[in-house]
Amino acid sequence: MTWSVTRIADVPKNGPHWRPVRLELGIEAFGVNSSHGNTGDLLVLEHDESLSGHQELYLVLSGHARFEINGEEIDAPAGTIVVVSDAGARRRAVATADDTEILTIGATPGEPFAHSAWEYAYIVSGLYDEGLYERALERARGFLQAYPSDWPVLYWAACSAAKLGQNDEALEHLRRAAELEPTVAPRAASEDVFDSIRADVDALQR
Amino acid sequence: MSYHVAHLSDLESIPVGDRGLQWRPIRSRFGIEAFGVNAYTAEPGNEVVESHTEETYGHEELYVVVSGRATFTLDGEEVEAPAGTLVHLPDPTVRRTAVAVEPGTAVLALGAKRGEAFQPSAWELFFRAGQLEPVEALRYYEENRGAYPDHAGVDYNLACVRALAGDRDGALADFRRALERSPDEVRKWAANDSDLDSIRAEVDTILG
Repeated sequence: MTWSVTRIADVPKNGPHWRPVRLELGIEAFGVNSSHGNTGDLLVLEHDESLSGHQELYLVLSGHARFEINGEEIDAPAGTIVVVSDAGARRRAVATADDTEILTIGATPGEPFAHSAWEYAYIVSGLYDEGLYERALERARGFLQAYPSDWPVLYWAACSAAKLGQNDEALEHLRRAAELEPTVAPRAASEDVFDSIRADVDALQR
Repeated sequence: MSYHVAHLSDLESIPVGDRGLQWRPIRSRFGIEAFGVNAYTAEPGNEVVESHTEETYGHEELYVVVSGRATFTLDGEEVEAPAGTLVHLPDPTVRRTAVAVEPGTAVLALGAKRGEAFQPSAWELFFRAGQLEPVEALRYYEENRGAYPDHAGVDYNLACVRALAGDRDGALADFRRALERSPDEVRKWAANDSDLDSIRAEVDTILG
């Protein structure tokens, strides 16, 4: 098939609000995801894009939202476009009506698009948080075949494997994640999920 | 200003072609340089996505039906697309078009090329210049051609507007430049283009 047609409401959510549109559709040229929720739900988590350098465009597809950008409030009914070109600007958005859907598009000017490290980790951690450890580990293994140095995915793969009692695999993922990212070892040291491999996990900090 | 806000209904509306398509520029208005993004609107029976492929730019595209309802035709196959539909076209060679079915149909179009930094497409220039009188269009092209160096389509369209504005020598110089850059395409474009009527004899001589 050289094209695909999907209803946005049919893109399965990962967690309570986030729809991983780019991943579900296999888009590789730009970032695009969506968030759906009801009155009071935080649909765009407070963040900036300093690390990625992304320009972002938000489109309110349905419902009504209130954006805050660098502390300024923006009332955004359906059909509103919010463009944030300054990667350093802090932004968040809350639904102010039920059935609010916000589409987000992002990429870095002057660079070929590369997926953000958090994207695959969101999928795996979402499944983990739902207690779907086997599915989380299966998805993580798939992502790691394509992106073996995605340390957030390695971390959640380690957590999932540990939950499943697959300690050798858990430790292997954790060691690799710790090599790639210095915050991993201290974080793992405080996680109960690694109790069964505690000595090895503590050794990662030394 | 670190951000911009607009409502889809407040975007500038530029008619394109003769099938009722209204282009609502987003990328150029907000200075977006990381991906292509524009909206299109149409009333029932009119085009809301013009018939085209993405072979020239190699773009992967995503269309989002924001309101109303459209019928897409993808390589001859019809697809019903109510509001909330995502149409993903990773293959640039697929011929695509869409017609509005309901009043107030709006489609958001996103595009960029895999593995390459985004470059604005020259068609944005053509769409806007197409609505201007020849002298204004000429000024617009001259102001903006620097963003599209070595682009046969830009040179060719400059030749057309110069011919329409009565600048025969300039038109022929731009036509020759376009032909040098992309001979097969330029021969095809020039074959029946009435914009070149005032220099048709010279064009035919150049084309042999």
